[in-house]
Amino acid sequence: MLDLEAERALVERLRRRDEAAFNLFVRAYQSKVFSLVQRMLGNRAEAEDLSQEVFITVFRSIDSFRGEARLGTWLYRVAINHCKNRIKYLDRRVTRGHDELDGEGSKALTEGGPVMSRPDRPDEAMQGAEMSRVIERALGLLEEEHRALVVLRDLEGLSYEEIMAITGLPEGTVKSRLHRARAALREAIERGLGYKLPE
Amino acid sequence: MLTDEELRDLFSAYHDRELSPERSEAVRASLAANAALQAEYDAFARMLDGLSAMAAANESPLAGVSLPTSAAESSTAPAPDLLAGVQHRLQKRSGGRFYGDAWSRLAGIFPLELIASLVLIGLVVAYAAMTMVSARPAPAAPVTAPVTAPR
Repeated sequence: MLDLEAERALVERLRRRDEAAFNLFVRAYQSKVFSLVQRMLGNRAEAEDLSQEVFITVFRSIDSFRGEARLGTWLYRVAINHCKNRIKYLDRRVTRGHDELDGEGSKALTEGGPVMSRPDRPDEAMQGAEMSRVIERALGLLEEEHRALVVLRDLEGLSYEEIMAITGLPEGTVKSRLHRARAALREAIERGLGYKLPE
Repeated sequence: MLTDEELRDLFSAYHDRELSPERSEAVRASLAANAALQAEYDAFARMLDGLSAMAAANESPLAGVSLPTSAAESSTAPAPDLLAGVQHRLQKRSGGRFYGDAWSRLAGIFPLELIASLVLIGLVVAYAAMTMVSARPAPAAPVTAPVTAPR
């Protein structure tokens, strides 16, 4: 991460639409943005497209960055907002697509949600690659607000303070919503697996 | 002693060590006295540990080596270089004002119609100048005395 002085200088150059500075900025933050977006969307191609849009938004609206938060925090906020909008758009598109489908396929998709493979041995269900896959799919079932909190806290490893700065939510709300989000994730995992998590 | 519902509501904060020492101790004691809730909390904590492990695996340079599934491979593949794509989109959307070559930068600042009109006007002026030069009458030849043959 850049120190505060270097960050201020970079922001000044970005405000002047300095292309060399913007190149540096993209290279410095692209893997973090891509990782966050991919975890939010669960799709590499969509994530690549949306990550580019995040940087374009920064290029266009850097003047609205007032410096109250760190540049990285502001960038995460832009990325999360983009992700929420894209998730809504994709959900609408999927719903419309399902409406246009007919017969059994449509019924299975709308009633069952994403199909998860049921492991032969439930006791090993939450281990290794299987665990990652199950969690990834369950994350995709969460509403975008819950998904954002779980991704920021549990996958990106951000502190409560950073999450508060990104989401603009007070501490108590972050904590309670995060708890609800994790409970929803657990339910989604169990619903997908078709049984309670091993205890 | 906390009720089951109160305990469940504290699972996240307890796991994240966000509770005060007294509150944390109360949760620990309540869980110790309730085997079913202790098991529920253990499963909850295991899920969160699974998330952390997933995050750590994705950050490792060797991530994905032992994860043969397509979903795992897609999430652990290295991040793509986004710069070229971002530059291309910015060039296109700014009409060449940013990340363009000299011509497209000019086209971004001045509308193409204006540039075309200026070029056209320049050509007309040049043509008119050339026409005027070629239409000007040739200078009169100097008058000289007729040459007469010597007698």
